[in-house]
Amino acid sequence: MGQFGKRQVRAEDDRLITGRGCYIDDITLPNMAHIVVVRSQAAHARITVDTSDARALDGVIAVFTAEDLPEAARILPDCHPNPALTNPRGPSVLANGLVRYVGEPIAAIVAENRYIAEDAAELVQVDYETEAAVIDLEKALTKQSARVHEDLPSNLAALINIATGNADSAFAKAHCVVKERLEIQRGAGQAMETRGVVAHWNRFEDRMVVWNVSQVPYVHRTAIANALGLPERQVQVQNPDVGGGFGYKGLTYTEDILVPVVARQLDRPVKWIEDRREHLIASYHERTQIHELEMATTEDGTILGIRGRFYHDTGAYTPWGPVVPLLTAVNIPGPYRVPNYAVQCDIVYTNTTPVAPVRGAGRPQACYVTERLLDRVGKELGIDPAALRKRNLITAEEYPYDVGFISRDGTRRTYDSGNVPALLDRALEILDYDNTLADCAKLRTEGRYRGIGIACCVEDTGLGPFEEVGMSIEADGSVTVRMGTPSQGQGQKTSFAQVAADILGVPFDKVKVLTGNTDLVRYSIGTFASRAGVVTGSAVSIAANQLKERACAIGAVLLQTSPEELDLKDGKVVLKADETRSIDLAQIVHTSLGESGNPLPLPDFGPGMSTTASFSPPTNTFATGCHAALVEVDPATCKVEILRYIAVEDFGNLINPLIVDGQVIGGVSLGVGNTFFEKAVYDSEGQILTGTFMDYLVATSMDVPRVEIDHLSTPSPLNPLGMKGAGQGGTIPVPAVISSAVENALEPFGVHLCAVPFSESDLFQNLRNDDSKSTRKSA
Amino acid sequence: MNTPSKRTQISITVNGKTYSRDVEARRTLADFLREDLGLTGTHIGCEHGACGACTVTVDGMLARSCLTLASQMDGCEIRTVEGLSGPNGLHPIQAAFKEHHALQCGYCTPGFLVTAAAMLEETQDPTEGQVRDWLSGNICRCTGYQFIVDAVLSAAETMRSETEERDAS
Repeated sequence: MGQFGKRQVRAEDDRLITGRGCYIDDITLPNMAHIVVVRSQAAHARITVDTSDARALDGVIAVFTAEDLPEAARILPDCHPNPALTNPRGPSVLANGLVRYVGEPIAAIVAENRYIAEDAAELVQVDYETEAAVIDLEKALTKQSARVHEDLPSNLAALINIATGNADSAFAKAHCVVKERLEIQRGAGQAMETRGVVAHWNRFEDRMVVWNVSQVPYVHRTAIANALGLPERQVQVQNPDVGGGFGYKGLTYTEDILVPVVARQLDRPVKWIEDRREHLIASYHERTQIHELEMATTEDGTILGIRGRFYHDTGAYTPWGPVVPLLTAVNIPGPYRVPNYAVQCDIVYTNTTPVAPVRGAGRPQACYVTERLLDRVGKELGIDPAALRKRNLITAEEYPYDVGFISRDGTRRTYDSGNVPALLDRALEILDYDNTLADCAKLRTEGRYRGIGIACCVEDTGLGPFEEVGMSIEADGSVTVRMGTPSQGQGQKTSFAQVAADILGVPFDKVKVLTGNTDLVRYSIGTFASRAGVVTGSAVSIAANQLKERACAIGAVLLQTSPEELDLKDGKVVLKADETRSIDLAQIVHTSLGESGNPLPLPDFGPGMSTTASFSPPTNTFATGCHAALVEVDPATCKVEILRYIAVEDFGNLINPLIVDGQVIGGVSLGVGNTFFEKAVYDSEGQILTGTFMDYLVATSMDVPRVEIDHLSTPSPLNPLGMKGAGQGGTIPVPAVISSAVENALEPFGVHLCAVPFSESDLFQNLRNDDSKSTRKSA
Repeated sequence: MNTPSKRTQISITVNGKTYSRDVEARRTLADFLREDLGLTGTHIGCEHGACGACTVTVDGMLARSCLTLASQMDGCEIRTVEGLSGPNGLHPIQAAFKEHHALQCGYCTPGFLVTAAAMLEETQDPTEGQVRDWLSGNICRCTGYQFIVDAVLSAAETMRSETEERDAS
């Protein structure tokens, strides 16, 4: 068959290219009411809310404020609690007398249509008694700072320390020590579809039915059941087509609780669709960190250690524990040998939108700081950047590699397999490194400034605890796969059909994958952290092998042979030695089900060709990558042109290289935005200044270069198909690579890049600022 | 506050079919298409004209249906993504999007398809630069644009060869 590894075009596309998709806002139910959320206009204030005018408007059904919610639905639960977060704080579902960021939900208008609800929202009177807003990440930890949460002694949400070896003694004997202060600014996922929820009470089944755009419908099922005081069987969560996820849709938001509560209380279907302004100000952000790190090396550039401290801005609340800064802290060593490591992270509350994972999730920051430090070492010691990296990369023979500390999932962080030196070699080969270096040098003499950047990364992917899959061979011999990890565009319906088709010996288009409905399998974790392909994909292979075994066993009875003599091919059980002797899968199903009223003909196999299977990976598998870029910068205008962008990835075995390439290029696109444009900006009082796509810029077709991709594979030993996750590898190294390339291009001007994103104007300032050749305070 | 009750009668042709409707003066074309006509292929991405997901053509010109009022459309001909494919199946641009994996989540896709189809009516043999320029008003967060650009260039080639075949026969 050979579906595994094929560049199969997607089963999803026919509906989507003809306008027949079904997204959350396309769902309408009879008698459906519409919700508009009234949001805080102040970053930190005590509030009093008067909704009487809004309630009086024709067409308004109800207005909800905090006191209208049941006790269990007032505070958003942390769905991923982690003891490392010592001072967690969750947001109120509707603000209860106090708001802590601009955009925080205060009231919910329910009206006959969206237009009336918007009118009524204007009539809600909120009095703000403002308090000092905590905006500056570093000042937030000073004694004088106001506090985001008055009940806490400071704005510190938690301290994390990650260490191995003895960093201080390594630094004491180092030949070279470089120190950097590096800033990564706040961006956002900004899927093209905003968030939305539709909910109604199903009277026939006596339960709450919720459609939303979540990456984690089972997590939502638990949260909604708790909020409504229902057992989980009385909550069904479904995902229609979802218009992009990018991590930040992997959390439970206040509206995910609010909308079902309103539907239950009013006993009416309700819909809430977020608008783009709300999405920009109130859907979770990520990336703000300030690092003060040092790297110590020997004379030949061998890394002896990394030490220092970084500050992580978690915004006003901690919706997903400490996962982002924890991922940064454990990912800083990257694919390099770092024998001594001691990094402290301060997780800090500010009066800004809460922070949660956005594609990359703490790793782009880690890659950026490590690669910037390596570039500094290279300059100090006069070592070629490629040679310096090669000297420090963990070699293929050293895998599995014990990094020396505990990972995000509580296990000893161990890179399962990899060969990053080979990725680097391949990237250099594609770039034609030596000749390109010579070209850059020659062009520089002609006043043209080109530069090369290189960065390598690891990504912990495919994390546990499990995924469950149900699978059936239908009466017509086709196959149905049921699973819990929903799609936000990753093409699960294609990839997993490929896995099942190969094992069951049926054509690709005979496999139908169902997802996005908590009734399909009993338990699931969700689609995030590059895990669905690895964990669900493995469960698909296990379930398919179970069905194959059963089909061959039944086939053996019918063909009077032993199961070992049989295989599945072209929708049939065939005798390997003589393929003319075969039985259709449809016949196998028919036999396994028997005839109505009669005993099962083959009771040993149970009725039907249906099974469930789950896969629980022992720990993460680590994807790796090496990216390289060639850029040209015009020093007069500071326009940066990315002439070439090369991504060499190791995602283990690939189910569908076409889909994986799409993931890589899309990831690079976000990385380009993170490098040049994407920045959520707050003023000193906490007003967000980037509330439209005119202010919050993302990469367009004019900005993203053509990405040259290659894949080398070191299959993971941790799952049956040897896979590694591919969802974020495209994004992680981009800010590091491009910063390095731009700095290299502008080397004659002594430009020193210490912050992302940097705009062309930032670069222009940097180039013309004689006092400080850095983008340190890029605004 | 303005009284929202002002209504107006319009006659509008969408994908070749004419509709007469009484609409609220402030109703957007996007809401009209999606909710009143049930043509939900047109998606709303930003409601401020920046993302291009809601792009349709009005009398052959590209327009943002989120910034256009239905009441302005009296007598106009609209084409949405649902109107791209004909009796002979998919429009070449739709087929090329599938073939080149030019969509992932599919949410921005209708706007890209409508824009690209309009471009190919005007420019039969575009360069990559022209394609990127035409598409620069549409945001995609999934694909990084590369496969979209490839799809448009490939559709242009298909359409040129179809034209040549027609001319030859």
